Amino acid sequence: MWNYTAYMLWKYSEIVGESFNLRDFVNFVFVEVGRKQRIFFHDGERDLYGDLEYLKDLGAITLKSEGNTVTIRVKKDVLSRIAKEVEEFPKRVKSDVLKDYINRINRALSDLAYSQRVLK
Amino acid sequence: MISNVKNIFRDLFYELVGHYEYNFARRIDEELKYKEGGQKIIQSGSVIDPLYGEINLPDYIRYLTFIPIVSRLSEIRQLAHTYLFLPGASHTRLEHSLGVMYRSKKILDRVKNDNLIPNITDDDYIIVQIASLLHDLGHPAWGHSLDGITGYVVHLLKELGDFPSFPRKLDIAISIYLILYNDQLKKAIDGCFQELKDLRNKIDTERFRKVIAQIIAEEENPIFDELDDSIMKKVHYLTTIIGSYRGKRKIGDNEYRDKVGIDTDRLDWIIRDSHHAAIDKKLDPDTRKDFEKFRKKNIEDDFEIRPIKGEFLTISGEFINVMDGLRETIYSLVYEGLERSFIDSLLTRLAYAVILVLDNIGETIASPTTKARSVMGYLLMQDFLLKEYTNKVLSIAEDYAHILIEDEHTRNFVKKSGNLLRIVGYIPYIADLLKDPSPVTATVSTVFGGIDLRFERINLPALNKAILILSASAVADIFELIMNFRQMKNEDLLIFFKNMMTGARVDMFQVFNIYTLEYEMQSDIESRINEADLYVLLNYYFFRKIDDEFKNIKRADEFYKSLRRNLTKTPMGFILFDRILAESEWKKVYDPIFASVCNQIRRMLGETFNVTIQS
Repeated sequence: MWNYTAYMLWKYSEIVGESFNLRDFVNFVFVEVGRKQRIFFHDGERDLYGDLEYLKDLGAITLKSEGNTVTIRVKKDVLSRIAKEVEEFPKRVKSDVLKDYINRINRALSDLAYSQRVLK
Repeated sequence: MISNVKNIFRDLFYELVGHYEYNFARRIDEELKYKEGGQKIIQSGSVIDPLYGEINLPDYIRYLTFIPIVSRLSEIRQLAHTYLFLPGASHTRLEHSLGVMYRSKKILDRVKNDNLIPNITDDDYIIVQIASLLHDLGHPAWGHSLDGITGYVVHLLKELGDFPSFPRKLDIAISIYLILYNDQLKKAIDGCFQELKDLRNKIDTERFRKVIAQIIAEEENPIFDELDDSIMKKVHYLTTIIGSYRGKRKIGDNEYRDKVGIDTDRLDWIIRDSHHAAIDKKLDPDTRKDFEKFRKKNIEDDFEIRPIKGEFLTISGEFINVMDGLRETIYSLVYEGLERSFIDSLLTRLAYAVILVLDNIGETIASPTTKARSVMGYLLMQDFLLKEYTNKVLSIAEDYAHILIEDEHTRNFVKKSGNLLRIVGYIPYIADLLKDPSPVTATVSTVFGGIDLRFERINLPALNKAILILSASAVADIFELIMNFRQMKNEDLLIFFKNMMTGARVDMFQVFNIYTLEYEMQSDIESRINEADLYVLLNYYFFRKIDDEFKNIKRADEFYKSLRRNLTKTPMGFILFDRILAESEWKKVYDPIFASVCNQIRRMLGETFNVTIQS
């Protein structure tokens, strides 16, 4: 579900900055959103990597490897448009299920933003 | 009067709750004893399987097969309504589940003997056999035909508060629900827990149930907090015996796979379904020879197994390529085609309408827990009972939906659905005519301009009905027309299509606003031809298939091409008319049908892309 991956990437970047570590994002997707908000958009990490490669090909992000570390950099103009459309779509089609998807991601983001403020 | 009707709905709702409670949730400790005074009463045994011969059943597996919530699988057909056009295909989910159990145990023997995974214990045998037996536990009657209601059912289960994950398959959602909330099953699995040796000192019964649920869910990351890394390692290798994990991985020096797993589930169904449906008779001589070779190798486990990082298992080598090829062939013969699409679209609508009624009743009189039980009482019935109860619910809704459902379009959708039950008995006749529909090319007027569309239609004279098939190629033409109307960037087009397809896969009826779509079409058609009620039947597999293909689609034109090339036998849906149409009448219905589809897409586009319509 690369559309929801794109939404999470964009919103995540609004909190942590436009460049961030892949491992931290994986943790956000599977622990903060997945386990804590009880919603999984991917069957596993490899499935998520497939989405990231796809978004890279679309020109929404870049992926840079250095040793064992992979850094994701978002491309604001493309990714923000995709994310906005993912957020708006459930409202237009009046789907409670799809709204719930967005709400759960947003709750995880609020928790993340709060923990970032506390750390500062 | 209103109060009487409300009582009718309430009684119906609680009848289904009662059906679930009595049949599948009652405690059976006193009726069926596994052990007494430390002695086992139920002994191990065996059954004869049509593919593998004698299969040994350990005592705890035999015990599980006697539990009503598990034994119901012996009354659920593996291939749902396929037997109507492939008469041999009437085997059951239980037969397949026992087959998977047998295969998983055999694979585990080999993995242990070849030392592919270290430290395999007797407990692993118990877990893999239980998970294999229960892997299809959540299949409702009508099987995969009801996959299109998955999103709605999961949404209802989410109201329980602590329901984990958002499974994308209906049977997995129901399996997880049963393992976590069904007292009959919980108690039975707790009984099996006593069989564990080492693990019994490390985990409790609740964690044991969650291990089983995690394996059945085929999720690589833990969906339960209690499953730590050491347990997940075990879960990973056991899951990849029964099923698979998605995601591209390197499995050899130059070998990559999009999925990893031995997948005894697939190894079994691919030969079992073909065996019962007698698919080999439909294969050309060369493919039939290949299939026979494959079948032998499959049954004898004559393939290479590779461990990955000591944690996952997968099949490697030529065997997997042959299986992938044959899978496509068999899939198209048994699981795809216009007939299958029509049946699934029809049954999905019926079940969705019933659950909509139950949801509306439950909203006013019951807790989410009771509502979930009512929905389960409905879905877990045997095939014939599901039809009977669908009839019962929709017959009452036909007369009294106005008391239950406020929105006019939704109410009409539910009320009309009851009429569709009358054609379910004639599916073989419809399936026969759907083999050879008449192709049509028509110029259609829409708000975006005129367009030549290719689609198909049939009249069903014996039933006095007619069907227009919303072909994928016509849908592609419509998309292209609308998108060319307003210049949009490639990524804007892709995200729109992706949202639409993923959304419809999750919540098809809402995303396509089927209530309004049908209402608009009907209103428009009424002004053009006399007395022809119509029904919109959306095809879930259309959305699922194109959504799956999306990983290979990076440009909008590839999306259109994929629709035209790869979904020739998988239409977006059907418009069923309740009488046959004369040629002159057919011509009058094309405009309103396709204009309504365009309007719906326009609504989905909304303001975001600033689509303006020519006056």
